[in-house]
Amino acid sequence: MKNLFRFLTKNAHWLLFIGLLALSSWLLVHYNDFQRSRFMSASQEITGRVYAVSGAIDSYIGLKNENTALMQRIALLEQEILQYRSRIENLQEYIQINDSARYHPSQWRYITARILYNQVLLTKNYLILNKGSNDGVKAGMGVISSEGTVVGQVMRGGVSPHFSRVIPLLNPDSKPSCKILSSDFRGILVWDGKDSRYSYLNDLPGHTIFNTGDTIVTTGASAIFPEGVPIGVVADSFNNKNNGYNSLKIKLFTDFNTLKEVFIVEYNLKDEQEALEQGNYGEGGTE
Amino acid sequence: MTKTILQQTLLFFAFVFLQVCCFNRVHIFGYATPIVYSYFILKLPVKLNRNYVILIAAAMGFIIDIFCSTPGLNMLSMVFVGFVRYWLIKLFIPKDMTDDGIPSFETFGMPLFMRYATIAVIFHIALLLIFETLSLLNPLMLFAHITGSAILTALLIFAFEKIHLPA
Repeated sequence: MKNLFRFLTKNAHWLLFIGLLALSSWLLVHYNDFQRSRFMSASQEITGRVYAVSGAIDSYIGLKNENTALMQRIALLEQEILQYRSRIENLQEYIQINDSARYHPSQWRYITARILYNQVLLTKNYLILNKGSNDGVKAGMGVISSEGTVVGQVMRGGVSPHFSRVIPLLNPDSKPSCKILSSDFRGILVWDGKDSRYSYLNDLPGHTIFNTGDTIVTTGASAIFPEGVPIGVVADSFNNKNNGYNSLKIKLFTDFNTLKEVFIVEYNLKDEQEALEQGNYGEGGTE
Repeated sequence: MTKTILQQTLLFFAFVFLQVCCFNRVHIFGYATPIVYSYFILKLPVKLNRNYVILIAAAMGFIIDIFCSTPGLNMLSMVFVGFVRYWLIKLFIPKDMTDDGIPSFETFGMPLFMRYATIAVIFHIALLLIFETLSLLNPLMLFAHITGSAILTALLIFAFEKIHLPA
């Protein structure tokens, strides 16, 4: 105790120095806007670096789950391929397939991409992907999750050489046309900006046949998505008596909170189809 | 002794007053501002307790801060100056000087006091200006500021000393 006291008195100038230093630094940071902003930005830089490292570790840990999901998906697809292959073999015995049909190339091209930035909390959300025009991404292309469910559409004017901006289903501007798988009734999916798990299928005719739990898929009419990409299931329904249209509450398949890897899909014949829809195919010299 | 304490107190406020009302308004070529109040700390008696030196330096910085409405800025740099003064004196004090004198041209000799004062002034001004900008965004500008102010301040201090010398 005596030694401690002696030590303290002997080194009082150090304590005094550190104490006054702390006091003046506090005064400086607390009462001066400029120094405070410098302090804040410096500390933000440091915390940002820490978060980047921890985020990298997090995504590394998350790889395991991601991998299992991908493996499951691959297994499922393999299974499907086998099914189709055996079906084709069966069919070949009955039908003479001509060569042009057999070697018809796939009209859909897939580009893999990773999500760099993901919003779910706002009313108008956007995603940023790590692929851009250099990788063949164009405005208006569809985006599908690694589980094969609908995510959204590449925004018009939202493609830079290395990045692209996506309007996900969680944005009222995203209005994909979709249908009830079992009955083929069509409507337009619109998000109400509230719950990231649910969206609403509007403009269904009053006589629509549906059950809770029915799957909703894309129509493939607008050449953004292939036909039959799953979107969600019917969770609830509202009957709008004023205009005779039905509204369905849809539970989305895609979990936007955990989304990491996506596919951007391109329809190779989109230009051709659009030209035909506008009625100038072969007339305006486009082809 | 009591007389010197009274004198020192008056001198203390004289320096604050001079710095705040006069020297702080000088910006020669936009680079050089004399920041001479650390001279008071340099001129405290050699044998004065280090704790007192630090406290007086901090108090001086704080009072200047109140006038300049930059709380903590001058205080921070002055705390450093008060803290390192002990080692500076140890470094430059002549071997034969034993009494509790005051550092000056007379007691230290001109070259030694010049070095002592110059190093202290550069240290003080560099810290002050670095904490003021808190960035190295414009290092050349900062360096010019520090050099200009330090040279001007050192020259002023030498001039003070020279005037004092005969008295």
